Amino acid sequence: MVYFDNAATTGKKPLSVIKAVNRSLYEYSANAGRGGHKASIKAAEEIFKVRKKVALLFGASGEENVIFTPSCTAAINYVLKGILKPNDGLVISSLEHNSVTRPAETLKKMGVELSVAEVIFSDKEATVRSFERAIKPNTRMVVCTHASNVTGEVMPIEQIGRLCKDKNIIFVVDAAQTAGVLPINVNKMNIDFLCVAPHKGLYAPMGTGILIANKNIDTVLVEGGTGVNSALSVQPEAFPERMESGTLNLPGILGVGAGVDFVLSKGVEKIYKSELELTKYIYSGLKNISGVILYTPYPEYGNNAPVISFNLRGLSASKTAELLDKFNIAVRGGLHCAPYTHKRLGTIEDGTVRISPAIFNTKNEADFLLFTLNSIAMKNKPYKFKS
Amino acid sequence: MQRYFIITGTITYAIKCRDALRHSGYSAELKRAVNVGGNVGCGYGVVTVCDINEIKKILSHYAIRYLQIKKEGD
Repeated sequence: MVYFDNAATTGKKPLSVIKAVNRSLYEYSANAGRGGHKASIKAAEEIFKVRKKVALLFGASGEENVIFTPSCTAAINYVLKGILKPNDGLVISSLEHNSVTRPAETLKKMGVELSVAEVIFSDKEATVRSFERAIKPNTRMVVCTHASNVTGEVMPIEQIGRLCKDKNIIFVVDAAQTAGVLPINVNKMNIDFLCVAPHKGLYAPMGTGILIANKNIDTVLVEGGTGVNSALSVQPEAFPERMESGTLNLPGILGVGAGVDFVLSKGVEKIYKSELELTKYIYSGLKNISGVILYTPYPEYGNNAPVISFNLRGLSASKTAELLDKFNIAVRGGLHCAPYTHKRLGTIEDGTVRISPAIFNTKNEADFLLFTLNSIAMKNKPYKFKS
Repeated sequence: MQRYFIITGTITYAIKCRDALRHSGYSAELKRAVNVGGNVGCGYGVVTVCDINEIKKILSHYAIRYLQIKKEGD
């Protein structure tokens, strides 16, 4: 399988990640942070080591600020629904994923005032001005994706972070597409809550999520056993346990640790450059295929994550993806759970085909993808007579 | 020197506490705490042999939250 759907989850995991997951079940199979026996303590220590690595990677103040969640989506929900109250203002960008827009719409029904800051493609300053306009006196929180999962557009996170800091507004960043691909430092970027999908750019197992929390969360969405303060009917106050009710996903978390090691061994910068070079190569190839409609600009360093959206004229996005799948090429066709973005692109009815390379993809694979797409486009030539 | 049980509550702070004490040159071991700190229930802590003022200095320096410091055996 030639896998180019890494924006959904990285298709190939490093051997070290697979080994870490295996090892967790062989050597540390106990309920971490619950019992007093050696196995439970050892499991908790292994998880602590991963918190330490994650804290270092994202510049978090301490290990306690690293909260493990079932997914990046869960992390976003914990923050939005745990903090916002009726009459609070919430500003989100126009490129958000449903992981943000759906909880935001639910909160709107409960009395939260929702505003959308229009992203101006390839114009960071204009985008920041959009956020400035969207912010109102009651704005309590700004949520922004670090990079669109449809277009790869990288958002001016540092500038928006400064804006939020100046106005004393909570700043939440959805780094699902960028953690492990672009450098992130929560303190330098004034990020109060960073939500991470480690199964993507950190090459960790699916079913893992990370929330880096620099501020308190008033209401805890998922309550239950934490291994601490068990005689009390309320959640403990201290992070991370306050947010981690239920048995922790030890195999997944140790996979996260190995994934962080893998990314650090390669270097975030090197990974980004390598993925972007391949993205540029594919982009240039797509431009030479008759009938290709591109929805993303030529990928530029710092402006784009390694994501391309396109369509083949006369074919639906899902049909193109289906045809590629017949040649064992995995891409994503459809709306990519980001309807706001597709409304902007004018592709809300049919979506786009998304190609998203990762570090394991090769130029040979890109050539095979382009050759196959060209063949599909040639066979589909009657489109010329449709319009 | 006296043996103390520093009750941190969470395992995360217990590990941070242990590492901070060890980094400062003291022996320290994790231990499960049952129904401690005003009967709040289970939790974790660290057993160490160290001067009480030194313990407080280390905990403050590393910003480690704790619930209680007990003389071991109390």
